[in-house]
Amino acid sequence: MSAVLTPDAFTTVTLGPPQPAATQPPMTRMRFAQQNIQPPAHLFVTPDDFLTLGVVNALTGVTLQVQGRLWTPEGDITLPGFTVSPPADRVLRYTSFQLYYGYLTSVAVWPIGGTLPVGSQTFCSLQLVRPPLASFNLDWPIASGYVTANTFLATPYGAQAPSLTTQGQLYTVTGAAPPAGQDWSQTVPANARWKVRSVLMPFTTGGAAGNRFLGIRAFSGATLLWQSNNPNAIAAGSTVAGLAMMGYPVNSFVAGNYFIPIPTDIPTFAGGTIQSSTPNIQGGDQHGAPILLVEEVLSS
Amino acid sequence: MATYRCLSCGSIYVDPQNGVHFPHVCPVIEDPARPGRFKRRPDERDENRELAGVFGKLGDGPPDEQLAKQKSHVRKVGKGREKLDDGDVLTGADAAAIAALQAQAGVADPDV
Repeated sequence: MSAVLTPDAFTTVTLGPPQPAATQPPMTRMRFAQQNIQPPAHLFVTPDDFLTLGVVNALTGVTLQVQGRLWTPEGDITLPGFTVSPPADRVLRYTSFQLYYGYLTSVAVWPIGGTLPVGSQTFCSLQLVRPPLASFNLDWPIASGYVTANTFLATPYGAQAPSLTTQGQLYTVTGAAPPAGQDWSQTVPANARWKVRSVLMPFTTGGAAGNRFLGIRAFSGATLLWQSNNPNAIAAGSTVAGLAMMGYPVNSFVAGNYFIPIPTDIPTFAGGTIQSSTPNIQGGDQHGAPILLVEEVLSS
Repeated sequence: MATYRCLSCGSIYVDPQNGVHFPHVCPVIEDPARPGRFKRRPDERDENRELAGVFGKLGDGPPDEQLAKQKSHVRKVGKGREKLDDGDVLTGADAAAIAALQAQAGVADPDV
Protein backbone atom coordinates (compact mmCIF):
# COMPACT_ATOMS: atom_id res chain seq x y z
CA MET A 1 0.00 0.00 0.00
CA SER A 2 1.39 3.36 -0.93
CA ALA A 3 1.64 6.05 1.68
CA VAL A 4 -0.79 8.93 1.54
CA LEU A 5 1.54 11.25 3.38
CA THR A 6 5.12 11.17 2.37
CA PRO A 7 7.96 11.84 4.82
CA ASP A 8 8.53 15.14 3.02
CA ALA A 9 5.06 16.30 4.01
CA PHE A 10 5.74 15.63 7.69
CA THR A 11 8.83 17.78 7.62
CA THR A 12 6.81 20.86 6.56
CA VAL A 13 4.52 20.77 9.60
CA THR A 14 5.18 23.73 11.89
CA LEU A 15 3.55 24.98 15.08
CA GLY A 16 2.32 28.51 15.58
CA PRO A 17 0.51 30.88 13.23
CA PRO A 18 -0.10 29.57 9.75
CA GLN A 19 2.56 30.63 7.32
CA PRO A 20 1.62 31.90 3.87
CA ALA A 21 2.72 29.76 1.00
CA ALA A 22 5.68 31.04 -0.93
CA THR A 23 3.63 31.06 -4.10
CA GLN A 24 -0.14 30.84 -4.14
CA PRO A 25 -2.04 29.84 -7.23
CA PRO A 26 -4.04 32.72 -8.70
CA MET A 27 -7.74 32.42 -7.95
CA THR A 28 -8.66 32.64 -11.60
CA ARG A 29 -6.64 29.56 -12.44
CA MET A 30 -7.69 27.33 -9.56
CA ARG A 31 -8.73 23.94 -10.92
CA PHE A 32 -10.64 21.02 -9.60
CA ALA A 33 -9.04 17.65 -10.00
CA GLN A 34 -12.35 15.85 -10.61
CA GLN A 35 -14.56 16.09 -13.66
CA ASN A 36 -18.19 15.13 -14.18
CA ILE A 37 -19.38 15.70 -10.63
CA GLN A 38 -22.53 17.44 -9.49
CA PRO A 39 -21.91 21.21 -9.56
CA PRO A 40 -22.76 23.30 -6.50
CA ALA A 41 -25.15 25.45 -8.51
CA HIS A 42 -28.24 24.59 -10.50
CA LEU A 43 -27.83 27.32 -13.06
CA PHE A 44 -25.68 26.84 -16.13
CA VAL A 45 -25.28 30.11 -18.00
CA THR A 46 -24.03 30.90 -21.48
CA PRO A 47 -22.91 34.03 -23.37
CA ASP A 48 -26.60 34.61 -24.08
CA ASP A 49 -27.13 35.41 -20.41
CA PHE A 50 -26.54 38.82 -18.90
CA LEU A 51 -26.08 39.74 -15.29
CA THR A 52 -28.16 42.90 -14.89
CA LEU A 53 -27.98 45.38 -12.04
CA GLY A 54 -30.89 47.76 -11.48
CA VAL A 55 -30.19 50.75 -9.25
CA VAL A 56 -32.18 53.59 -7.74
CA ASN A 57 -29.78 55.85 -5.91
CA ALA A 58 -30.23 59.04 -3.87
CA LEU A 59 -26.69 59.65 -2.60
CA THR A 60 -23.98 61.38 -4.61
CA GLY A 61 -20.69 59.50 -4.98
CA VAL A 62 -21.87 55.92 -4.50
CA THR A 63 -19.93 53.18 -6.29
CA LEU A 64 -21.19 49.62 -6.52
CA GLN A 65 -19.17 46.48 -7.08
CA VAL A 66 -20.89 43.48 -8.66
CA GLN A 67 -19.01 40.20 -8.43
CA GLY A 68 -19.95 36.76 -9.61
CA ARG A 69 -18.28 33.39 -9.26
CA LEU A 70 -18.43 31.22 -12.36
CA TRP A 71 -17.30 27.61 -12.54
CA THR A 72 -16.45 26.91 -16.16
CA PRO A 73 -16.69 23.51 -17.88
CA GLU A 74 -12.90 23.42 -17.89
CA GLY A 75 -12.95 23.50 -14.11
CA ASP A 76 -11.77 27.07 -13.73
CA ILE A 77 -13.23 29.37 -11.12
CA THR A 78 -13.56 32.79 -12.69
CA LEU A 79 -14.76 36.02 -11.14
CA PRO A 80 -16.79 38.04 -13.66
CA GLY A 81 -17.73 41.43 -12.28
CA PHE A 82 -18.04 45.13 -12.87
CA THR A 83 -18.17 48.45 -11.08
CA VAL A 84 -20.71 51.22 -11.63
CA SER A 85 -21.20 54.72 -10.27
CA PRO A 86 -24.94 55.42 -10.46
CA PRO A 87 -26.16 59.02 -10.65
CA ALA A 88 -27.91 60.32 -7.53
CA ASP A 89 -31.26 61.24 -9.02
CA ARG A 90 -33.51 58.41 -7.81
CA VAL A 91 -34.07 57.25 -11.41
CA LEU A 92 -34.16 53.49 -12.08
CA ARG A 93 -31.29 52.47 -14.33
CA TYR A 94 -30.00 49.12 -15.56
CA THR A 95 -26.48 47.98 -16.33
CA SER A 96 -25.76 44.61 -17.92
CA PHE A 97 -22.74 42.38 -18.06
CA GLN A 98 -22.36 39.47 -20.45
CA LEU A 99 -21.55 36.09 -18.93
CA TYR A 100 -20.12 32.99 -20.56
CA TYR A 101 -20.27 29.25 -20.20
CA GLY A 102 -20.31 27.93 -16.69
CA TYR A 103 -22.18 27.36 -13.46
CA LEU A 104 -22.97 30.60 -11.67
CA THR A 105 -22.26 29.63 -8.09
CA SER A 106 -22.64 33.04 -6.45
CA VAL A 107 -23.27 36.72 -7.17
CA ALA A 108 -23.05 39.72 -4.88
CA VAL A 109 -23.33 43.51 -5.05
CA TRP A 110 -22.01 45.88 -2.43
CA PRO A 111 -20.92 49.52 -2.17
CA ILE A 112 -17.23 50.36 -2.24
CA GLY A 113 -15.16 53.49 -1.89
CA GLY A 114 -15.37 56.47 0.39
CA THR A 115 -19.08 57.23 0.06
CA LEU A 116 -21.18 54.45 1.47
CA PRO A 117 -24.97 54.60 1.54
CA VAL A 118 -26.83 54.08 4.78
CA GLY A 119 -30.41 53.10 5.46
CA SER A 120 -32.61 53.38 2.40
CA GLN A 121 -30.44 55.46 0.08
CA THR A 122 -29.43 52.92 -2.59
CA PHE A 123 -31.81 50.21 -3.79
CA CYS A 124 -30.47 47.46 -6.06
CA SER A 125 -31.78 44.46 -7.91
CA LEU A 126 -29.76 41.68 -9.46
CA GLN A 127 -31.17 39.46 -12.15
CA LEU A 128 -30.18 37.20 -14.99
CA VAL A 129 -31.78 38.20 -18.26
CA ARG A 130 -31.61 37.52 -21.96
CA PRO A 131 -32.19 39.97 -24.80
CA PRO A 132 -34.16 41.77 -26.05
CA LEU A 133 -33.86 44.73 -23.72
CA ALA A 134 -37.33 46.05 -24.59
CA SER A 135 -38.78 43.31 -22.42
CA PHE A 136 -36.28 41.66 -20.14
CA ASN A 137 -36.46 37.95 -20.67
CA LEU A 138 -36.02 37.14 -17.04
CA ASP A 139 -34.06 34.00 -16.27
CA TRP A 140 -33.58 34.40 -12.58
CA PRO A 141 -34.46 37.20 -10.15
CA ILE A 142 -31.43 36.90 -7.92
CA ALA A 143 -31.98 39.43 -5.16
CA SER A 144 -33.24 42.92 -4.46
CA GLY A 145 -32.95 45.28 -1.53
CA TYR A 146 -31.05 48.20 -0.07
CA VAL A 147 -27.27 48.04 0.14
CA THR A 148 -25.19 49.75 2.78
CA ALA A 149 -21.65 49.53 4.06
CA ASN A 150 -22.55 46.33 5.84
CA THR A 151 -25.62 45.09 3.98
CA PHE A 152 -25.01 43.32 0.68
CA LEU A 153 -27.17 41.61 -1.86
CA ALA A 154 -26.02 38.14 -2.71
CA THR A 155 -26.96 34.68 -3.75
CA PRO A 156 -27.15 31.80 -2.75
CA TYR A 157 -30.03 32.64 -0.44
CA GLY A 158 -30.78 35.92 -2.18
CA ALA A 159 -34.10 37.44 -1.16
CA GLN A 160 -36.49 39.82 -2.86
CA ALA A 161 -36.96 42.73 -0.48
CA PRO A 162 -39.39 45.50 -1.46
CA SER A 163 -38.16 49.08 -1.28
CA LEU A 164 -41.18 50.55 0.50
CA THR A 165 -41.63 48.37 3.55
CA THR A 166 -38.60 49.33 5.55
CA GLN A 167 -37.41 51.90 8.02
CA GLY A 168 -36.80 55.03 6.00
CA GLN A 169 -33.65 57.08 5.93
CA LEU A 170 -34.00 60.21 8.05
CA TYR A 171 -33.10 63.53 6.45
CA THR A 172 -33.12 67.04 7.75
CA VAL A 173 -34.20 69.07 4.75
CA THR A 174 -33.91 72.84 4.47
CA GLY A 175 -36.93 73.82 2.45
CA ALA A 176 -37.20 76.78 0.12
CA ALA A 177 -37.68 80.31 1.42
CA PRO A 178 -40.50 81.92 -0.56
CA PRO A 179 -40.75 85.54 -1.60
CA ALA A 180 -42.37 87.86 0.95
CA GLY A 181 -46.08 87.36 1.37
CA GLN A 182 -46.11 83.80 0.06
CA ASP A 183 -46.18 80.31 1.52
CA TRP A 184 -43.27 77.90 1.29
CA SER A 185 -43.60 74.55 -0.44
CA GLN A 186 -41.60 71.32 -0.42
CA THR A 187 -42.31 68.51 -2.87
CA VAL A 188 -41.53 64.84 -2.30
CA PRO A 189 -38.95 63.75 -4.91
CA ALA A 190 -39.93 61.47 -7.75
CA ASN A 191 -39.42 57.77 -6.98
CA ALA A 192 -39.48 58.44 -3.24
CA ARG A 193 -42.02 58.37 -0.47
CA TRP A 194 -41.85 60.52 2.64
CA LYS A 195 -43.23 60.55 6.11
CA VAL A 196 -42.89 64.12 7.34
CA ARG A 197 -42.07 63.70 11.02
CA SER A 198 -41.76 67.35 12.01
CA VAL A 199 -41.42 70.85 10.59
CA LEU A 200 -39.88 73.96 12.09
CA MET A 201 -41.08 77.02 10.21
CA PRO A 202 -39.78 80.51 11.12
CA PHE A 203 -42.21 83.30 10.33
CA THR A 204 -41.86 87.07 10.61
CA THR A 205 -44.79 89.41 10.18
CA GLY A 206 -44.52 92.89 8.74
CA GLY A 207 -46.19 96.06 9.90
CA ALA A 208 -49.55 95.54 8.22
CA ALA A 209 -52.38 94.98 10.65
CA GLY A 210 -54.19 91.65 10.71
CA ASN A 211 -54.29 88.31 12.47
CA ARG A 212 -52.27 85.62 10.73
CA PHE A 213 -52.54 81.91 11.50
CA LEU A 214 -49.84 79.34 10.89
CA GLY A 215 -50.58 75.93 9.45
CA ILE A 216 -49.46 73.06 7.25
CA ARG A 217 -51.25 71.49 4.34
CA ALA A 218 -50.51 68.60 2.01
CA PHE A 219 -51.28 68.18 -1.66
CA SER A 220 -51.34 65.42 -4.19
CA GLY A 221 -50.56 67.39 -7.29
CA ALA A 222 -52.95 70.33 -6.98
CA THR A 223 -55.46 68.44 -4.86
CA LEU A 224 -55.58 69.39 -1.21
CA LEU A 225 -55.37 66.29 0.99
CA TRP A 226 -55.33 67.69 4.50
CA GLN A 227 -54.69 70.89 6.38
CA SER A 228 -53.99 71.80 9.99
CA ASN A 229 -53.70 75.26 11.54
CA ASN A 230 -52.84 76.62 14.94
CA PRO A 231 -55.81 78.55 16.39
CA ASN A 232 -53.74 81.38 17.89
CA ALA A 233 -53.47 84.63 15.95
CA ILE A 234 -50.15 86.25 15.10
CA ALA A 235 -50.18 90.03 15.07
CA ALA A 236 -48.11 92.49 13.08
CA GLY A 237 -44.45 92.93 13.94
CA SER A 238 -43.93 89.41 15.32
CA THR A 239 -41.10 86.94 14.92
CA VAL A 240 -42.39 83.45 15.69
CA ALA A 241 -41.90 79.79 14.79
CA GLY A 242 -44.42 77.18 13.80
CA LEU A 243 -43.68 73.71 15.17
CA ALA A 244 -45.44 70.93 13.32
CA MET A 245 -45.43 67.44 14.76
CA MET A 246 -47.87 64.79 15.84
CA GLY A 247 -50.13 65.89 18.69
CA TYR A 248 -53.17 68.07 19.05
CA PRO A 249 -53.95 71.80 18.94
CA VAL A 250 -53.40 73.68 22.17
CA ASN A 251 -54.40 77.20 23.09
CA SER A 252 -51.57 77.78 25.50
CA PHE A 253 -48.07 77.87 24.13
CA VAL A 254 -44.55 78.89 24.82
CA ALA A 255 -44.13 82.48 23.70
CA GLY A 256 -43.44 82.60 20.00
CA ASN A 257 -44.01 78.90 19.37
CA TYR A 258 -47.14 77.84 17.52
CA PHE A 259 -47.81 74.12 17.61
CA ILE A 260 -49.39 72.56 14.55
CA PRO A 261 -50.55 68.93 14.73
CA ILE A 262 -49.83 66.94 11.57
CA PRO A 263 -50.36 63.27 10.70
CA THR A 264 -46.72 62.23 10.84
CA ASP A 265 -47.40 58.59 9.95
CA ILE A 266 -49.29 59.21 6.72
CA PRO A 267 -46.93 58.65 3.79
CA THR A 268 -46.72 61.44 1.28
CA PHE A 269 -46.00 59.87 -2.06
CA ALA A 270 -43.80 61.06 -4.88
CA GLY A 271 -44.97 64.37 -6.27
CA GLY A 272 -46.94 65.17 -3.14
CA THR A 273 -46.35 68.56 -1.60
CA ILE A 274 -46.06 69.84 1.95
CA GLN A 275 -46.84 73.51 2.11
CA SER A 276 -47.37 76.18 4.73
CA SER A 277 -50.86 77.58 5.13
CA THR A 278 -51.00 81.14 6.38
CA PRO A 279 -54.47 82.66 6.36
CA ASN A 280 -54.37 86.48 6.23
CA ILE A 281 -50.71 86.55 5.22
CA GLN A 282 -49.68 90.08 4.25
CA GLY A 283 -47.33 91.27 1.56
CA GLY A 284 -44.63 92.22 4.04
CA ASP A 285 -44.68 88.92 5.92
CA GLN A 286 -41.75 86.58 5.40
CA HIS A 287 -41.58 82.83 5.83
CA GLY A 288 -38.08 81.59 6.59
CA ALA A 289 -36.64 78.41 5.14
CA PRO A 290 -38.47 75.59 6.97
CA ILE A 291 -36.55 72.70 8.47
CA LEU A 292 -38.26 69.40 7.76
CA LEU A 293 -37.44 66.09 9.41
CA VAL A 294 -38.47 63.50 6.86
CA GLU A 295 -38.21 59.74 6.59
CA GLU A 296 -37.61 58.64 3.01
CA VAL A 297 -37.89 55.30 1.29
CA LEU A 298 -37.25 54.84 -2.39
CA SER A 299 -40.12 53.76 -4.59
CA SER A 300 -38.73 51.14 -6.93
CA MET B 1 -24.05 72.47 -2.32
CA ALA B 2 -25.16 75.87 -3.57
CA THR B 3 -27.96 78.36 -3.04
CA TYR B 4 -30.28 79.05 -5.96
CA ARG B 5 -33.25 81.22 -6.82
CA CYS B 6 -36.07 79.82 -8.93
CA LEU B 7 -36.93 82.34 -11.64
CA SER B 8 -40.47 80.99 -11.91
CA CYS B 9 -41.69 81.30 -8.33
CA GLY B 10 -38.90 83.32 -6.70
CA SER B 11 -38.17 80.75 -3.99
CA ILE B 12 -34.62 80.46 -2.68
CA TYR B 13 -33.36 76.95 -2.02
CA VAL B 14 -30.26 74.86 -1.36
CA ASP B 15 -29.25 71.88 -3.48
CA PRO B 16 -27.91 69.30 -2.98
CA GLN B 17 -27.93 68.84 0.78
CA ASN B 18 -25.40 66.43 2.29
CA GLY B 19 -24.98 64.75 -1.07
CA VAL B 20 -28.70 64.21 -1.59
CA HIS B 21 -30.74 65.98 -4.28
CA PHE B 22 -34.03 67.38 -3.04
CA PRO B 23 -35.52 68.72 -6.26
CA HIS B 24 -37.23 72.09 -6.23
CA VAL B 25 -40.78 72.19 -7.51
CA CYS B 26 -42.77 75.43 -7.61
CA PRO B 27 -45.70 75.54 -5.18
CA VAL B 28 -49.23 75.14 -6.37
CA ILE B 29 -51.26 78.35 -6.22
CA GLU B 30 -54.87 79.14 -5.51
CA ASP B 31 -57.05 79.16 -8.57
CA PRO B 32 -58.71 82.61 -8.75
CA ALA B 33 -61.49 81.16 -10.87
CA ARG B 34 -62.31 78.52 -8.26
CA PRO B 35 -61.98 79.79 -4.68
CA GLY B 36 -60.54 77.19 -2.35
CA ARG B 37 -59.13 75.14 -5.23
CA PHE B 38 -55.55 75.02 -6.39
CA LYS B 39 -53.68 74.69 -9.65
CA ARG B 40 -50.12 74.42 -10.91
CA ARG B 41 -48.32 77.52 -12.05
CA PRO B 42 -48.29 77.88 -15.83
CA ASP B 43 -44.53 78.52 -15.71
CA GLU B 44 -43.88 75.79 -13.14
CA ARG B 45 -40.32 74.55 -12.64
CA ASP B 46 -39.99 70.89 -11.66
CA GLU B 47 -36.44 69.69 -10.99
CA ASN B 48 -37.37 66.05 -10.61
CA ARG B 49 -35.40 63.90 -13.03
CA GLU B 50 -36.59 61.46 -15.61
CA LEU B 51 -34.75 59.38 -18.16
CA ALA B 52 -34.11 60.97 -21.52
CA GLY B 53 -32.49 57.97 -23.18
CA VAL B 54 -31.62 54.33 -22.61
CA PHE B 55 -28.93 52.09 -23.99
CA GLY B 56 -29.73 50.20 -27.14
CA LYS B 57 -29.01 46.64 -26.21
CA LEU B 58 -27.87 44.56 -23.31
CA GLY B 59 -24.20 44.78 -22.53
CA ASP B 60 -23.72 47.78 -24.78
CA GLY B 61 -20.35 49.11 -23.67
CA PRO B 62 -18.64 49.22 -20.29
CA PRO B 63 -21.01 49.49 -17.31
CA ASP B 64 -20.35 53.17 -16.57
CA GLU B 65 -20.67 53.95 -20.27
CA GLN B 66 -24.08 52.30 -20.23
CA LEU B 67 -25.12 54.50 -17.32
CA ALA B 68 -23.80 57.60 -19.06
CA LYS B 69 -26.07 56.87 -22.02
CA GLN B 70 -29.05 56.84 -19.71
CA LYS B 71 -29.19 60.61 -19.38
CA SER B 72 -31.74 62.28 -17.18
CA HIS B 73 -33.14 65.78 -17.40
CA VAL B 74 -35.36 68.02 -15.32
CA ARG B 75 -39.04 67.53 -15.98
CA LYS B 76 -39.98 71.19 -16.41
CA VAL B 77 -37.45 73.95 -16.87
CA GLY B 78 -39.87 76.81 -16.22
CA LYS B 79 -38.07 80.14 -16.34
CA GLY B 80 -34.85 78.54 -15.12
CA ARG B 81 -32.85 79.31 -12.02
CA GLU B 82 -29.88 81.39 -11.00
CA LYS B 83 -27.13 80.78 -8.47
CA LEU B 84 -26.81 83.08 -5.48
CA ASP B 85 -23.92 81.43 -3.67
CA ASP B 86 -21.65 78.40 -3.93
CA GLY B 87 -22.53 77.40 -0.37
CA ASP B 88 -25.58 77.21 1.86
CA VAL B 89 -26.48 80.78 2.87
CA LEU B 90 -30.13 79.96 3.51
CA THR B 91 -30.24 77.57 6.46
CA GLY B 92 -30.80 79.63 9.59
CA ALA B 93 -31.21 82.92 7.72
CA ASP B 94 -33.61 85.38 9.37
CA ALA B 95 -36.16 87.52 7.55
CA ALA B 96 -33.67 90.36 6.95
CA ALA B 97 -31.08 87.97 5.51
CA ILE B 98 -33.70 86.39 3.24
CA ALA B 99 -34.79 89.83 2.08
CA ALA B 100 -31.15 90.62 1.28
CA LEU B 101 -30.87 87.36 -0.68
CA GLN B 102 -34.01 88.20 -2.61
CA ALA B 103 -32.50 91.54 -3.57
CA GLN B 104 -29.13 90.00 -4.51
CA ALA B 105 -28.29 89.59 -8.18
CA GLY B 106 -27.74 86.01 -9.27
CA VAL B 107 -25.56 84.24 -11.78
CA ALA B 108 -27.33 82.39 -14.56
CA ASP B 109 -27.08 78.66 -14.02
CA PRO B 110 -27.48 76.04 -16.73
CA ASP B 111 -30.33 73.67 -16.23
CA VAL B 112 -29.41 70.48 -14.51
